[in-house]
Amino acid sequence: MRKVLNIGLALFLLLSLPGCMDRIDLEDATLTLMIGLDVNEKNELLFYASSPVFSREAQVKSEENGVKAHSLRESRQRFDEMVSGVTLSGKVQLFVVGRRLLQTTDWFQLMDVVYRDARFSVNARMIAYDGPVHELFHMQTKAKPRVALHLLKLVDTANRRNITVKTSVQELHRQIYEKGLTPSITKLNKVKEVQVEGTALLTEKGGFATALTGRETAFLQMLLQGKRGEISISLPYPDSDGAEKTIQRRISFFVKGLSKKVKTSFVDGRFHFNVDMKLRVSISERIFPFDMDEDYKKMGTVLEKEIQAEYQDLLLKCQKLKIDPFGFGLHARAYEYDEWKKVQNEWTQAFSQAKVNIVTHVDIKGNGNIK
Amino acid sequence: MKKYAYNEITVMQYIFLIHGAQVGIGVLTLPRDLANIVGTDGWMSIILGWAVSVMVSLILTKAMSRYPEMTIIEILQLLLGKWLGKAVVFLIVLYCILASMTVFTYAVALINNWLLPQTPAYIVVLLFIIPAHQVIQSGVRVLGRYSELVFYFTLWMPLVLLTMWRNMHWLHLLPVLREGWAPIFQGVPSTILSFVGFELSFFLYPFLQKKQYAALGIVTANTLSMLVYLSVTLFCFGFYSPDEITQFTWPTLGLWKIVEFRFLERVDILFLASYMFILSTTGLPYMLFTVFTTSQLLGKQDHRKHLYIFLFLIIVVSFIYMPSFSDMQKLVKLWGKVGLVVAYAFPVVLAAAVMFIRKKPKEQEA
Repeated sequence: MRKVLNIGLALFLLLSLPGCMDRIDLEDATLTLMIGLDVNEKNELLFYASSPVFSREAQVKSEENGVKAHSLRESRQRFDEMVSGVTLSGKVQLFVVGRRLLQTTDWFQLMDVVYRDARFSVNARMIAYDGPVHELFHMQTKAKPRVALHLLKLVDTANRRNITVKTSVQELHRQIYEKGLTPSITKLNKVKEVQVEGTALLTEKGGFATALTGRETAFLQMLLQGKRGEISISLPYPDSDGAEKTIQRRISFFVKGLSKKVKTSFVDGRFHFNVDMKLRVSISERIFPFDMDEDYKKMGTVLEKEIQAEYQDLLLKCQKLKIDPFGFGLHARAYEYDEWKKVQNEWTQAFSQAKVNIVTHVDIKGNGNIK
Repeated sequence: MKKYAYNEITVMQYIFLIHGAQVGIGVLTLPRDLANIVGTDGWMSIILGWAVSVMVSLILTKAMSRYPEMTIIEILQLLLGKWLGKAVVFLIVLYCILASMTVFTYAVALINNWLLPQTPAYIVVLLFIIPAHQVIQSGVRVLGRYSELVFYFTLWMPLVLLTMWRNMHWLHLLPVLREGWAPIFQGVPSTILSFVGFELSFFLYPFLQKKQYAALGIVTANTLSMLVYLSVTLFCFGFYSPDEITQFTWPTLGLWKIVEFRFLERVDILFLASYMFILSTTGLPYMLFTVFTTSQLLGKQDHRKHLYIFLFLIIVVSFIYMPSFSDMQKLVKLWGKVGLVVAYAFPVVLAAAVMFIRKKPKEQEA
């Protein structure tokens, strides 16, 4: 009798399982891979979604939709009206923000649902698109795989070579809220085809400040992340009669190792950051004659000077625009806390007056296969 | 006479029962609470909180060793007389109900929030009831084995968290002692709350096979929990900026959302499923001792009848009422306040009582 009762109870409980309302069959799902946010000339918010289509009958393998709505969650309803399955946001890989929207302040508030809804994937890459976002969503060509997958590869591999940053949605949250750092996200643009165009630097609130080229991004990454992925740098070699020649003196190298120390101090009412960078490099290209056996020390000093000059330009540019993508504020907080506390809410202002001194030490470890 | 000989537990089971009861809800919210109160120096409050809880644990063990074959139920009735003793024991029952229900509803709410937002809560409750019934009906020893097993099954977690190492910004932790010692002491109350759970030794002590290891066991359990809290908090502080961490309800869960493998994207879902086991080792002991105590109060040896009634009541209540988000926080706070009394004040009072009231158990008198 007892056994029967137990089995009956277990059966009853198990049978209630299909009552689970969150079950979803894959064929009923539309997995959004890329979400776009933009604003049109009439200041109406536009939302885009790109999802793959898994059907043998379909000729096109991915569908792109754009709707007008007031918020991301509202836009989901509109998407559900259009696509065959229920739109799911758990697999989002790319998050694109258009140029016009980036110029408005407080666009970051639109992202609320991404952090509030636990099902959203927060590992999606943040992208600034220099143009209207619909261009990006309707760029499908026969030579490329599905738009979202193509862009994902494009961004990830570009980041591997350090010509752009890789800022996830979660990381953007940190960069926006962190007082001692301003955000930097991947920038895409369409020239003939859509291409990676370095890094977009944003202001404290998330508005567009300036763009870095892929070349400059490598320098930013070295300061921000240290050595991650491949870092290859190409520099001009000072030449007395350079400017007119077609083939100029140029030297390229890749960074094998990198260590940096930041010394922070507060003197005369402003912050001082002394960055000491030690680079271990290997020459990968030199298109002019040079006696490396004799003069490798001279080559080292030339590279040091060139790199420092690059950094000087980069820092000046950022200080002028009052942005701190390098996160010097974190150092200020860690080592000069009392002074930091006074300026933490206007850190970018304080940073624009700070004195940053970058000293590099280049150690040439390799010279390649030929002399 | 060994009353509980049929159900003795080993030292390992004793350690993991207590450790399991300690690590529960706190692990999800402690980093944020500490960031709120103390800032990035909060991890030091954990160590201070650990010291306090170890101290009280040792006092408790000492008090219990006076009557090594008795649970708190019998001790209280011996010391305070039958009726007053029963009244106090009844308060302990209420505490156990409060604790188990808080954990239980928290687990349901978490599942509802993170995994199954559309599923009605009572279905999740039903699903939790089955394993709860299976484990609890067999008593302390089985529960001990269960806690130990769950502990071994969670050992992969720190390894996966370590893959996050490159996302850490250890600069967040500096400067140490940024606002001096005062806020660190202010953080201690919320850390000692997360060590609540060792008071289960009130019940577990007589079940322990080798009593000479009781002190060692309870210190080990506390230390294990401290290490869990410390590592989770440090990782959260390293990952989240001190300016943003207070924005999240469950920073620890958010941490798992970042982990991504080539073959597995949403590790947080996997973690949450395993975390339910961790939560169960917090809630189930309290459930067991609720029904264990009520049975003893009514003079019954078999606690299973009371268990069935208790579980049935949970299902009925979950049909009618599920606490809202803010009720839940009130519930957790209430447990914190009551826990402070039961786990920290009560053992000290008890230790004083057994020192001064010299009553001998009946068996020994004879």
